[in-house]
Amino acid sequence: MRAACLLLLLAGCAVQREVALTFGSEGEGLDGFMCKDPAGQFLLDRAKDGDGGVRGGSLVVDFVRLGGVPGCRTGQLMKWCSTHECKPLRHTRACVPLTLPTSMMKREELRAAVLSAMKQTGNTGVLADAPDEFVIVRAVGSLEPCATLMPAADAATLPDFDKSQLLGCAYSCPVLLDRVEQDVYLGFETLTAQCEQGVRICSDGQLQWQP
Amino acid sequence: MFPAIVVALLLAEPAVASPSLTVVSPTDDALATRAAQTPDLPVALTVSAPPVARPGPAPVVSDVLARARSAWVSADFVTCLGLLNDDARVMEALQRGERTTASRTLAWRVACKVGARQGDGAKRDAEWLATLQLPVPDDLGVMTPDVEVLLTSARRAVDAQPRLPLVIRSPSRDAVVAIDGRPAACIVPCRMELNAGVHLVQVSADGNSPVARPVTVSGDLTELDLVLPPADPALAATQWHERRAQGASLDEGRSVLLLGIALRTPRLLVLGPSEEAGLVRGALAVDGVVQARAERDDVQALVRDLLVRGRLMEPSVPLWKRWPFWLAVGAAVVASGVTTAVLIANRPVITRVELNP
Repeated sequence: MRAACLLLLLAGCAVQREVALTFGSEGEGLDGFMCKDPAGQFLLDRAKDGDGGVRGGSLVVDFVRLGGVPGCRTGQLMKWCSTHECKPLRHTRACVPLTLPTSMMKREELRAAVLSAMKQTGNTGVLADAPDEFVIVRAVGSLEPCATLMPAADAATLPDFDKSQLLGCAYSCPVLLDRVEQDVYLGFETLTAQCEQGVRICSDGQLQWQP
Repeated sequence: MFPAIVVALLLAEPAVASPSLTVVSPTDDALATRAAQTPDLPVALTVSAPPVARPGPAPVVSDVLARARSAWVSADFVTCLGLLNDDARVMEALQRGERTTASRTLAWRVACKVGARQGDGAKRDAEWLATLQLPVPDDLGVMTPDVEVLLTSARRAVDAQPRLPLVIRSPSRDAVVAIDGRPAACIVPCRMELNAGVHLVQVSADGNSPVARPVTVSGDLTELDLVLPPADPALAATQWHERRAQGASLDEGRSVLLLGIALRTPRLLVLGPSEEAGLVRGALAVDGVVQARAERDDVQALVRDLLVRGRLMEPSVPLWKRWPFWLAVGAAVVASGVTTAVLIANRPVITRVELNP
């Protein structure tokens, strides 16, 4: 009885923390949102409609269970997830409507414009209580609306992204959000602008290689 | 074979007999029985019945004085003196407290000696009668006037003499002194003034056999030291009953001493109902000395209490004085500390995640 009271007391003293997701102060982590397809077209340009306008999309934030603590480099994550189940946790998906700019400008201006668009979302609450395990946080830009990408109440799995509608992607290193003491940086490793393949892998439900 | 026996003897645990204690309840045997059934005691309790008093000495019925009187009437003074001339007869009468018998014996001795013309002897007996301050017997009315004159003059002469001091001492505590068959005169050590001459000193004390000693008081100071032998169990039983009859409580020191002697036991537990209803009262005596007295509502609790107070049994150690208690407390503290530390270290963390590009 006393032990139960003590537990309740201690439970009442749960530590409240806040962790922010960021792409870097200058948008350094937004390379995944400036990828081109093999034809040399920016993925962002998929938002252009025929009338010269820009279609709105969404920014989906997932928390991907890793089943362990792999390294942070892309190759390490790929290798890890080839032998482990790296799946977004169903109940943790968050979606924010977002309209991203198209590529009618230079790369650095585009980065600033994407960052500015991201900032338009303000300090959006993504998750009330982070998972008590190592995860990577993934942000995927898509032309699909949130209504399509959020799981139905009775759905067992998360809806997959339409690869043709992807606009970009960024992810964090494996992190234990209950312990991290800095903002969690989301980024995208690529050495070339033609990185649609990386965005496909990043947004995949299993983080597997996508042809 | 022999070494094996030696080793076996060395290894054998010595037989330790637990000390025994006699339990007696003068008023309620069932109380003593229940006390003896007290469990887990380091002593063996044996129930004993209260001692039985020895009947008192039968009164001495003697016709010596009547026969002496007849001899005197018949002028057979030789026979008369033959019957009365032994001083021991006077002493025995005094020892029994029969001062009138002693007085009559001496008076008739005087009469017979007067008749037998033993003037000095008659005078000496008359003076002894006066010295002992014995009452003049009614028999004097039938004796000759010479006898009455002799007795009166002897009384007058003795009374004219100064009295002399006699000091009586005894190692026995509260020993009572009786002189010449009179009831208790004083308690030792005592000093008194007596007529010069032979007196009978009797000293008695509970727990001791009484002693009677003739003493001749003379000179500036006569001193008498008397050592009383211990009472035998039968006498102690009688003395105990006498004390009880006088209203002594059952756990009163001297009563318990007498009871121990009467029951021939060095360790005695006396129990009885208390004056307060519902309580039992008791005393524990070792070698005649009361070690503890107590009163409880339960006789077995009373027995334990008395044994602890009398140091025949260790008191039960309070829980907080036992090392296993502190070991348990220490373990509990450590366990609590560890649990608390673990709980604090594993306090649930609620991390709110927000997008802050």
